[in-house]
Amino acid sequence: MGKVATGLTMSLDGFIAGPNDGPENPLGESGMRLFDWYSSGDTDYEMPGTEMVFRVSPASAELLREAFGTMGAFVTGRRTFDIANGWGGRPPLGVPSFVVTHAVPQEWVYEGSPFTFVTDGVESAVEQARAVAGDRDVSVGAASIAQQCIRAGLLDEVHINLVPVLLGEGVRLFEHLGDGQVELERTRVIEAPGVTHLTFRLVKED
Amino acid sequence: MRKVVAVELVSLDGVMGSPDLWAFSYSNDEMEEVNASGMAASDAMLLGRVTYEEFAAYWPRQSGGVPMVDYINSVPKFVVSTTLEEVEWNNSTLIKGNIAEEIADLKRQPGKDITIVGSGALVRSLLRDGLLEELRLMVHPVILGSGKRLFEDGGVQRALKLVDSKTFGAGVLYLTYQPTEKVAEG
Repeated sequence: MGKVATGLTMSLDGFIAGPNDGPENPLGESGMRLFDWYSSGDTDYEMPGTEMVFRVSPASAELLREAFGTMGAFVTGRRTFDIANGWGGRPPLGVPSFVVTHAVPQEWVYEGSPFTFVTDGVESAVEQARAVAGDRDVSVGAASIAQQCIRAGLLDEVHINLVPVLLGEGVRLFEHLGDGQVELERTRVIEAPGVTHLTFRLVKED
Repeated sequence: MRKVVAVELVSLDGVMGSPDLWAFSYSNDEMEEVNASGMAASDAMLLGRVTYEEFAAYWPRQSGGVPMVDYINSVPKFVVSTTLEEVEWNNSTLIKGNIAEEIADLKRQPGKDITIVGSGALVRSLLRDGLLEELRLMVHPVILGSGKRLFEDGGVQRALKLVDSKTFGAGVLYLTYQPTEKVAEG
């Protein structure tokens, strides 16, 4: 069985997008600043399933290859799906994608659609994604779905690309988590130009 | 010119409040060494009111002969507050006039680093005014879910540069940042 992991780029003050994010401005005001590291290197990294090519440092390219190369399914929320406009029908990583929603957007339901709309909650979506992914990993995101997975004890790993900038406000990764403390094990730190890649394992109580 | 250096214990979700409840179990020799070299490089502390009041109620009652206790009780302390009338802890001075100007004055005087610990509101205001030279974060491997954050919503926008990064055995990350330019709007 693969892992359930989230991988997000976060400012030092904890935001994964600037304020007022929406379909017109998917990363919010000033949010583009978080992704300078996607274009400031000398090594091409082609995002699987898309035509996007990032130019990152060799260290970041290796990390992306490893993190994205093991993904077998993707779970996201309706808000992220709408902001990304369904990624134009080509979800990130080109893997089967599960969208947690209250109401199914019928225009996205067609033969061969890469999206499965899940109306009975995040646990169900992760379970379906795991079944499809098999030995490969399930990627979950963005912030709200990651929070729901943390609360439900579904998340195994957090990858944070920590960017040395203070955005001041925006969409916070770690909030709405309740009062329960979550212990982590720091498993890897890669310092790359303009970004520090951190990996933590969530320590689960048995 | 002297540097103002803030040293902060934070969780992965950015909480700095009540470190006595969550941070101390991660402390180890590597962190003690960093603290010792920080104290050796510093000959003054700058504190906000809340942290000052907590410290002033605790440290003077601790027995001497321990480096941390002797340092903190004897080092000159500058306390930034608009509400306190006086400060009684040994070697403390109140800063309550034009705070930015008084801190700039302090930095022009000869001496070593000026250290801030805790004092979240003070750190945020110095970042905003460009008066902080270095931010050293000890990021602990825990998500607390609630508590007072170092960086609250509606804070300053600022680009920083990572100048040093260390990992400690107990899982703490030690990240040293220096503020650079302001972030462009948009």
